[in-house]
Amino acid sequence: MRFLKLLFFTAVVFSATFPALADFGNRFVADQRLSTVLDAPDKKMSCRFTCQEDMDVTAAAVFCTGAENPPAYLLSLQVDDHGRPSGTPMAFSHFIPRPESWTTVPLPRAPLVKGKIYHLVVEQDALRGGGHPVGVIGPGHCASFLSTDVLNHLHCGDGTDDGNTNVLLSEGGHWHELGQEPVYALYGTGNSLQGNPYDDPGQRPVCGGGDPADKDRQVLQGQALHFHCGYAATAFAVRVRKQGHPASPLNYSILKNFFQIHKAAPIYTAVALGPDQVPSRFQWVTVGFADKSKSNFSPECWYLVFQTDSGRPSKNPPGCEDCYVISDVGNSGGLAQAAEFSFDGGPHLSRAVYSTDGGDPSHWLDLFERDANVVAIGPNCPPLPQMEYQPLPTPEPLIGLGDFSK
Amino acid sequence: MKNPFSLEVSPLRTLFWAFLIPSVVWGAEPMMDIGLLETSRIGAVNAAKTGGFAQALRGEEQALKIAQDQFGPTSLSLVPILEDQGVLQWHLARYGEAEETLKWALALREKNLGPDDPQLAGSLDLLAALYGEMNRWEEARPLEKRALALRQAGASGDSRAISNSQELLGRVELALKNTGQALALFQQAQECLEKLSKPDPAASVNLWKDLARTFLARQNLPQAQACLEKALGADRKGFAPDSPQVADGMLDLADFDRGHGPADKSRALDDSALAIAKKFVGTNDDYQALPHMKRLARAYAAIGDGSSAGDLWKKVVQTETAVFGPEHPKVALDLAHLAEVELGLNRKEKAKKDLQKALLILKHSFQEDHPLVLETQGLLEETSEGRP
Repeated sequence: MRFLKLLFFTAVVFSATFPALADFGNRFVADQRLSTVLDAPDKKMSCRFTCQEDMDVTAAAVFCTGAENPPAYLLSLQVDDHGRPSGTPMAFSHFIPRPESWTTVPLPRAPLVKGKIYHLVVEQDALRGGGHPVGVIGPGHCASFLSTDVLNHLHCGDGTDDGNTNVLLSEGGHWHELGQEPVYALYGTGNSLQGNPYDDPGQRPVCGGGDPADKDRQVLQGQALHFHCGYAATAFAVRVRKQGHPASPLNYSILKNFFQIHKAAPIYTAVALGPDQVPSRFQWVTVGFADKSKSNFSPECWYLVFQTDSGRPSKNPPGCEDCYVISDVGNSGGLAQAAEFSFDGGPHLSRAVYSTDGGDPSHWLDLFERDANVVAIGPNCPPLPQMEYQPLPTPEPLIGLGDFSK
Repeated sequence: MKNPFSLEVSPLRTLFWAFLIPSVVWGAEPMMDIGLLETSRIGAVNAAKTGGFAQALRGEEQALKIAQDQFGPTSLSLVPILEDQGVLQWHLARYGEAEETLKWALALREKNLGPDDPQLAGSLDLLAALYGEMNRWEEARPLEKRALALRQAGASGDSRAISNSQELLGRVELALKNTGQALALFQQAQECLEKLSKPDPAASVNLWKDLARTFLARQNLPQAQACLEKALGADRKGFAPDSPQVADGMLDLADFDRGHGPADKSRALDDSALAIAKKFVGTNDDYQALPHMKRLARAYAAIGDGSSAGDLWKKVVQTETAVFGPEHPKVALDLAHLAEVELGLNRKEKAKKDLQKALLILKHSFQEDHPLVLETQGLLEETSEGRP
């Protein structure tokens, strides 16, 4: 029996870092919120990133975690110079931050070029828009700005790599990398945008209703995945941990979302992990789909959700006892078009979903500005057809080409 | 309520899953076949070339299914397939289906590209032209106006495409009897064509004929004649002297002379056109031979050889019936042409029968006030009343 148990373990692949394979889902992770306090004239913070698409920036946003009699700050866009901000703003604007909120600042139009590295720099505005250094900054007059603790090196919207993302801090004229995920947003003309809107690392509890037989009060969690092509997934990965001592396995279920009738119908259910296979700290776990005929997803909206008979809801974090917890990231509000920045863009595409009544097909709830760390793994989407066809000629008109003798 | 997550996990079942959960094999399962998509589309295009429209439509339907599975139901990749499908339905006179298909293609372009993208113009052209055929010119007008505006606003400023839009809009205005606007649009289209570095003789010829029709509608016969002469001149300049295009130009001008000018002038043109047209008709009477057979039939009729013209129209009816089916409007038009020839040969009863059949077919496809229905009805009434 022990040998068989070992076999079961080998079927499940644990990895601390996510495998760089074709996948579709939110790999972007945040474990906790971090603050960078700018309380001195020479302290500056930079959000460094690689531009994803050519865009003319017209506004930028940062998240202020705390503010005490805050001074005015300058928000500027700067090109990269050997990993550091160049010191010459392409565009800048002044703002006074409010605690625990996003501040969006209009900027003079500045063109960003795809593939180039830029910095969004926050620093004290000593002149406060005038000609004299009248600004006051210090421990009693300062604000702090948000970053998150896992540096993903990813663009969160589409999961593409960005090895250049980082948060930099300048003190005494010297910049150094903090190894944190920058939280920022850029808006451009023509509805273009890029950035990381996830200011709220979260945990999504998966638990039973207290009594394993009471299925109707179970809490299920997962992610709606709106595939962009026919996707023959071979496996899925979920970032999961256990809370307390769950007695039952974590099951997964594939649901087809029939948006026209607001129903998410279960297609297939199977065991994902036994209690012993789930670590106590968040880890990515990859599980092969048992029946691949059920994981051949059409390019529409599917739910990949998790359920257990174990445990019960709790008012204390993470929201359940003797249960499982899936990590997620989300936006707490106050950022325009936040869902567009999140994984897979628009609110009605991929998003976190949950049920508090045991997965009643008609009662699934959407979290449009959150994304659970659930990923389907399979082949890359094929390229769009490159065939060049001449369109078929239309029929010769039956009328309108009248007889010239009349 | 039955809980959908009622999976009970027994140790035995855990064991079962332990063997079933495989190690991850990347890309082991083939995706839906992109190759089949290509094959279906190529097959459809080839079938359409030889008149196999129903077969082509089946191929495009298969291609659409694959593309939907592969790229999603609202992907831009579906648009060329949908447009081809719409055109095939149009060829088969399935106008209602064609309208729905082309509307969906337009909607997908709008969804994916936004409402101001110049690529929308092609979809708008198709839908406008279909509405024209259905005599829904009022509905065609805003579509073609939008297509023209998009092309004019487009960064590329493609003169050929702008000219094409102006011509199509001009035809809409002409059908709506706004001859002044039609005239202006055709003239603007000619100016656009003249800007092209490489001349497009076929487009130029068509525009001269559009202008001739407009002048005819305005009763300006000298200008109409001048335009037809310019059309023939453009044919002679752009194509070989014994080409079908030149023969068509001759027949059109002769047609005009017969109706509005000295009859003797038309004879020489008709003879020349007949000599050219004969070269393109042999024993082959399949779909691809149809335009040549129709031209020759027209030339025979023009010189008064009703017997030869009638034989050819009968073959045309046979071929078009085989290609499109017996209830297609093209078959009705061929029957009407045949009836006109029969009237010339004083075979009134035969002509009447063909016209009745043609009218029935046309009424099956179009509304009562469609010009083809009205024209055929008028001819039938004249025949029945003994006024050939």
